[in-house]
Amino acid sequence: MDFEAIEDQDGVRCSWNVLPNTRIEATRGVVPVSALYTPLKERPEQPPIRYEPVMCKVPCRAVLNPYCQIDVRGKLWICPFCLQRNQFPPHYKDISAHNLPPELLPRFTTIEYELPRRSPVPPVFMFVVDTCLPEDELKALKDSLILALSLVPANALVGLITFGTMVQLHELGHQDCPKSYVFRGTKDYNVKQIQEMLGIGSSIRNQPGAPQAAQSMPQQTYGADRFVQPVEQCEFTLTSILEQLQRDPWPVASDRRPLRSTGAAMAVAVGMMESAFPNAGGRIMLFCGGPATQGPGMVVGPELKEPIRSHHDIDKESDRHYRKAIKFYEGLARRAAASGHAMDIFSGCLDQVGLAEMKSMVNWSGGSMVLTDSFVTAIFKQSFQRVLEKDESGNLQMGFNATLEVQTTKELKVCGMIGPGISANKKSAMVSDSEIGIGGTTAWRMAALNSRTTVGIYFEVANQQSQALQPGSRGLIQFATMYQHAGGDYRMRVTTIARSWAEGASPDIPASFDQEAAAVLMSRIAVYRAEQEEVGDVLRWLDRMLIRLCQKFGDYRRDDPASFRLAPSFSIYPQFMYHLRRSQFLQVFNSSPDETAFYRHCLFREDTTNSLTMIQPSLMSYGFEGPPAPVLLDSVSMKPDVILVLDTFFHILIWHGETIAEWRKAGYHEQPEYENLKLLLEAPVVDAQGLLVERMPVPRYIVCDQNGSQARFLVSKLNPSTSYSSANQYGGGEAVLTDDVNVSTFLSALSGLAVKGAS
Amino acid sequence: MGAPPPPPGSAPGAQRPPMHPGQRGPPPPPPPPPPSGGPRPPPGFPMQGASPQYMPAPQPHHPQQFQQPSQQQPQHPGAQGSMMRPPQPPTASPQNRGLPPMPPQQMSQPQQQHLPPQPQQNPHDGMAALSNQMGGMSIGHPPPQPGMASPPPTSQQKLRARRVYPTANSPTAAAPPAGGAMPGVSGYPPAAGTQAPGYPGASATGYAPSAGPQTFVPGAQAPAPVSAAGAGYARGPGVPGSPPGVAQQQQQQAQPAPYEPPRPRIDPTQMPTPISVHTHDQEIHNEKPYSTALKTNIPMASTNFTAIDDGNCNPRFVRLTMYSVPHTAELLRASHMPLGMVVQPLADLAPTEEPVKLIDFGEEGPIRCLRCKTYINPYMVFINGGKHFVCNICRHENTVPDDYFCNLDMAGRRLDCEMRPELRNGTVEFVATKDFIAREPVPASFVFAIDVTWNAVQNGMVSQAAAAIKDALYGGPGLPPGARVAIITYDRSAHFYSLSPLLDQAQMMVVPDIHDMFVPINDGFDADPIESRHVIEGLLDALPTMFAQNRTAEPVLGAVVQAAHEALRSRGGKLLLFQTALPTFGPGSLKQRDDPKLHNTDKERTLYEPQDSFYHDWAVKLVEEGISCNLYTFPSAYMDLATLSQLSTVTSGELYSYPGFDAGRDGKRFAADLRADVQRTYGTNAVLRIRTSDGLRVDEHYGNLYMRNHVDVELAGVSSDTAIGALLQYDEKLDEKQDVYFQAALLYTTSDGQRRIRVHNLAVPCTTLIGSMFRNSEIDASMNLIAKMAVAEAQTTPLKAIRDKLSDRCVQILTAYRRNCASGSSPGQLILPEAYKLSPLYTLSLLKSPALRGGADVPIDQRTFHMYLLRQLSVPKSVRYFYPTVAPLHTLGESEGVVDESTGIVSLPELSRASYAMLNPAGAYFLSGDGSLVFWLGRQVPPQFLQEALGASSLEQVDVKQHALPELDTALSRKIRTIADQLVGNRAGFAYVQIIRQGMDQAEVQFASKLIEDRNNDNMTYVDYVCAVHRQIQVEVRPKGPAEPKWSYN
Repeated sequence: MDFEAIEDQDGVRCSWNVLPNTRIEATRGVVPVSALYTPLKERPEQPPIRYEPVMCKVPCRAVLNPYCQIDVRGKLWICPFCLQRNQFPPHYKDISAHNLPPELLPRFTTIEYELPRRSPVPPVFMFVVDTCLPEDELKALKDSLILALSLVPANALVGLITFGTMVQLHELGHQDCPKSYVFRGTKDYNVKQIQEMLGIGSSIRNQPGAPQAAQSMPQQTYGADRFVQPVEQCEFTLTSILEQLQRDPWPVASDRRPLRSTGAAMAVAVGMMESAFPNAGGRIMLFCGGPATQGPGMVVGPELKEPIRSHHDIDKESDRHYRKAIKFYEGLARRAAASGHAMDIFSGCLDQVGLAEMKSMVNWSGGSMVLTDSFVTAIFKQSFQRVLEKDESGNLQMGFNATLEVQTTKELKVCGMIGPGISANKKSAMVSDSEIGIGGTTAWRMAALNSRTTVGIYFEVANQQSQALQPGSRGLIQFATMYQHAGGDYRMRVTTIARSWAEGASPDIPASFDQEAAAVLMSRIAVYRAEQEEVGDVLRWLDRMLIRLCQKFGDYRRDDPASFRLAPSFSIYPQFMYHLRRSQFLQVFNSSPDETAFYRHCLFREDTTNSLTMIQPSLMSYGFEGPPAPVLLDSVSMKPDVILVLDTFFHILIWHGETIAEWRKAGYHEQPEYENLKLLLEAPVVDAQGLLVERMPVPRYIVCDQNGSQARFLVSKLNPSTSYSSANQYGGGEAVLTDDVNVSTFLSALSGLAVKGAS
Repeated sequence: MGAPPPPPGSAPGAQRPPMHPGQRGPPPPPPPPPPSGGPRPPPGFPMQGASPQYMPAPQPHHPQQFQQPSQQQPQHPGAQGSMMRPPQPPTASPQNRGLPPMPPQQMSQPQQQHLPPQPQQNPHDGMAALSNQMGGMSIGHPPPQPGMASPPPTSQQKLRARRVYPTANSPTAAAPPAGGAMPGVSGYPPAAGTQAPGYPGASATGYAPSAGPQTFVPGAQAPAPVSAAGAGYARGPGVPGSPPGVAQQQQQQAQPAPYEPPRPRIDPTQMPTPISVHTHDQEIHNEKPYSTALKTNIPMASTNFTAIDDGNCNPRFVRLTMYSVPHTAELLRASHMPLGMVVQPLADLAPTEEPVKLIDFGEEGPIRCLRCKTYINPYMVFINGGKHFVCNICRHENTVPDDYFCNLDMAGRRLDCEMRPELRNGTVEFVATKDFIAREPVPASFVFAIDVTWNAVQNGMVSQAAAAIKDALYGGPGLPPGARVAIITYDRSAHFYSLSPLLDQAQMMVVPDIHDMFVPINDGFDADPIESRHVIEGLLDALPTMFAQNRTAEPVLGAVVQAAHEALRSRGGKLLLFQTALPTFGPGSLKQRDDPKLHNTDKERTLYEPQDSFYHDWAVKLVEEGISCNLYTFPSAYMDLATLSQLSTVTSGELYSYPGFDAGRDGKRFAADLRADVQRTYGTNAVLRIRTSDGLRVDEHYGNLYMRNHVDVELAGVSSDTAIGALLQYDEKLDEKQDVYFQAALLYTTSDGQRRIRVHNLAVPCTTLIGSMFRNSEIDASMNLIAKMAVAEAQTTPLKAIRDKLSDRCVQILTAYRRNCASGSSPGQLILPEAYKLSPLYTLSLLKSPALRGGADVPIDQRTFHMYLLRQLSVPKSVRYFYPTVAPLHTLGESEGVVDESTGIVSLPELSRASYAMLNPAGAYFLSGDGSLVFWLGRQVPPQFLQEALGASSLEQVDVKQHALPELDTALSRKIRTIADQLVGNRAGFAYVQIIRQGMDQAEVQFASKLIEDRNNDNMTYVDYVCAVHRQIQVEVRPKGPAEPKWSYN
């Protein structure tokens, strides 16, 4: 089975592509029936069709799809999910077996409808800018923001909030002088207060004394047009405000951090957006250069002698601010996501800025998180621009205010979703009692999403016992994503997949196992749990799951580890698990809470390939002995005469073996007779650039030599097949200084456990 | 009201009391019952035939009739005449008057009536009046004429002090002032007559409606009429009630007129007036500078003088109520005069006077007495060859610091005396050392906070304020050096502006969270007005348009105060608030609590109390930070100044009020006020301490100030106009051989951030003689202090009680004089101490001031405002407040209305008295009192005058809507404009003028109410009042006889 072809067609990868037909069998499969779905996967060859989808009767609302039975004569179709009969609408009267509308054609299992409704409000971009920055940082940030004004569509609405000791909401429509509304940085303003103070929102609109909304703006803005205006209209004003933007002027003592009111600023932004633009697509983009030091959502106190929290502090619950801040930002995240606004965080700081506290704002709303050392870096600039990239037709590559709904046939129930979004609280008969991720619903809201945004959706098989299977019977899953396209129209993408049922013992089932997808789906579960539980528990759970999987699908003789074999469809799954256990997702040692939050954020939203890269980085070797080739992610690959390119998704690292490095230092590559060396040195750089271009956020690009300090990034990822504690089994390579077991030890232990019988 | 003025003819018929018109009418028949009088007031009145005059005067009757000045007069006289003799208080001697009262509303009629009667009656009336008045005069009455020493008390002192008004009309007053006045009188009568015609008509229409109920006088009379002629006010027995309303109305209008012509004797022109007194004093000081070494006989506050500081401070700084201090409390008590002072520590000096010397004693600071901390001054005595000095205040012997040592000369004076200003001058300024600095002094910030709600935009305040601020900052000398400027605007939120000179234009920051106020700017909140001129000017220019569409109401005053407090914390400065409405939103929001039902009742005073403590509490906080708050109000409705004004009173700030603000009408005045406010000398964070010789101490301080303890007066801001009253009290007997010493020390930060101590010293002789107390008393300071004391009671005492107390005090002082210094004089004569002869007039003026007058028609806010004024007024200003300046313009001579190049002073024409009867219908006058200026045009003013002054060919063509005098290229126009500027306080080009044509413009009612000598404002005429006072004095002085009814007037 070509999983990638399926993915290209539908944007779906399922852990099992043939489904066990009973609940028990499914449970025994260890990896749940689940799917990674990329709702907006780019499908350039299939442009959207311009009419309303045909839907089933009200409670069901499933969309007509190629798996429906149709009665051409009676102009009827039967909904495969609820089995109701539906009349085709009048304009389908000419339907016939040879004249089918696209949605009934098999190759349109995924189809995008462009609905004839447009969003009344163009997308809104609210920039929330930290001014407690060093001069050069602020300058760079201002430049990026000004540049961004030319990147967003001309009709898009933009607004600006700056914050430091205080929070300033800038009024863009004011002609006479720069004007801003200032809020205390130490206060949590609720929506009502903000509406009252700004004179915006539906409740305020009709009060006497409220400013009269300009007629040119749609009603939805409720008076907010003073603060948020189309770029084409306010570009000059906004540019000049940005240019005049000064560092936060309040004095900072040398033993204190600047007072930074990130929480209050976000509260104002969220309050304003939800008052003025409820359910209209928008992004709140936070640019912060340090941790919040006062007010709600405070991450660390203003005194430098108080260190910022570490994982240790969080585990011990010894940090005074952490819980409170988490709660505060979750509150904001919930509100923003509920009104369809995404929140992005761009952090430019060598230290932590509190992403661990603020992550919910990004994760729940589908925004982006970019972690950089400084706003001066290319990583920030490019990542920011990449967020605002446009497609060929000039529309931003993003969807807004999306709702993803899942329909299943009755044998399947929905356990939950793990990905960037929140529950839309749609209860239906398809909701399973057991929850995985965000459960209790069959619909989720994602305030923003792009072509790579991928969610993991988990199902369970509802059949209690085996029923006589109709041959060819299939379980159907329909994903319907309604979203506001960057162009302003609403669209609905519908993907309907069908997977065959099989008896529990059928060999089709293991053969249909997509181990890559399964690894990603399992890692999502593990990481999701790690957010809530002790990491140790999660690791043990992961181990148990792996052992059980091996027991179930391995080929072995009882109690004979040497006899243990795995079928090809499972063969590399244990390695993924090995690397997952060692990964920064589950090992927080050496990472700050912010970094961990960032890594996990990325894992939750990337597609299968990228996720796999995160879990098990890829390693390419360049040498004179042949064309570049992937090599084992193993210390043996570190040879003196090769160049390695490591891609961990977050980093792209070029490593020069000792010999190569010496040659380079000696300048051989500059001599014409050693042009081959020059070529060898250039090849990985070119390839690395290719990787850099595609990725969001832009990875960190590292070039290092063997034994150089930066080489630690590589070494830490390698399987320590040669460590100080073990003899060099294969010869060559470099010892890795670690106590971790290496893959072979892991696998042998695994096979030992797997063959032991009941565990 | 009812019937407008029937023609004159009717009047006569009306004589009967019952008839409304009758009021007037009656008078003519006048001479009713002289008889009854006999018994009563034997003392004063009976004495002289003339005596009766007084009686009438006191009684309301006159006033009523008077309303129409000239006309009535005749009538009265007649009536009075008859009455006169009998002058018995109880019985209504003034039957005549009694008559008038009856018809409550016939304002108009009276007038008419009067007219006719006048001519006819005049003869008698005049006679009668004369007699009456005369009687009064002679007896006790009125105007003591300076010269008349008739009752010659004892010593020369007494002679000088008192003035007796001769019984006879004798025009020749002994005293110069009186004399002057007299002649004038004769001239007037005719004028009055002429005026009458025009006036009545006008008044009839205009007044009738407005006439409020006037309780006292009229009422009394009304009933009385028939009964006894003699009933004085005092009696007021049944009176009070009924008819008053009518009577008064009429009275007000007519008052002035009636008197003059008819009674020669009581001729009001003989009454002592400030005009003659001031003129006299001015003449004395015109030529020669005043040396303060004299210690006494200081120039009056109204006088333009040049003082040479020879040990005592310039009277501009400190003015005592008496320059001979009694040696015991008993003596003081016997005189009933207040002993105290009014200190105006930063008063402006005349250009001809030497500026205050600044002395830097280096790190050690100024030399002070160890025990009482008195600063070194010329009255410290050096002894022991200069090794020690004796403190003049506490007599402690201090050692002279080595570096300050100097040998003494033969007379015991230090050899370096001439070199050291602190040993020569009464006023010096020391550089403050660290001990006096609680926090680093910095230049003051002027924060302009402008209400920009719909209301403020609509009435033009915002644009006016912006323009005025701009003008104040850049239109002239600008702010005091070093001062900084900040601007706030506010509606339902507060708007701050960053004025940093680095910006191209101001940045506006709105703080909508007014319940939790803060200042959103750190740097650039205030800026140097010169450095940031482009920013500030740009902002001020833009303000009106920025808020032109502002629809919000409810300015958040409280939040702005909080913000200013935070912004100026630990720096000090001046907060200028421009507020248009009652703050009903945000912190410090107030309720609308004005209730007309409370007006004119004992409960009215609850409206003078703040309704909550918010503003007081914050004002105290402002004081702690050295922030004074000037509140400019532009109310279109009640805005509870009583509560809001706390901001000004506690922080020693100013309060300005422009009710029903109209940019066209009030704009210039507002701009001028603001400019003067901003540009005058100013200091922050001040503490005033008054030290006195042992045996005396300051009992109470009066003014707009805050006191944490009993001795230190904390002034958040102190300007050249800040005046503090202090009432002294005895701890023990003073040594009469020693001078009594005073030292007022003001520690303050100048507007450019220098910490200074200004010290004013004063030594005055001590006396054991009450006569010398009277001789050396100072009426201006006394009345100023008395007014401050009266207002201070307003929150705890009903106004009526305060008014009674004021009158009582006046009577008591004069009685004391009479008892102690003029006991030999005839009881029928009114004998006034020379220095205090204006006290009845000033007391009357105080009774009529909107702060204290009765009646329900004074808006509460206006009352509060005037109370504030009285608390705050400096002595020179209070003199003008008590008696308006009326300058005739139709008789300008060559030298009048011209600026004297050397002194910059404008020579004014000889002023007229503030009485309608004194105005010539063929003339034109300026009237200036409380900063406003009225241009009154008589009915018969010559067209040529109109043409030259206003460019109008006839009275009808005069544009009364214009608020500025047209700048015509005629000598007259120029002179008039020069005079106008002078009258409103030398604010060149800012005079706002209201033009009123006699008998044509409604506004004449208000004009008339400013004529203090007439019956108006719920009180009697000057003449009547003097009569009343006189009668009471007689009662007091008379040996305890048979149960004499105790007098109470009012």
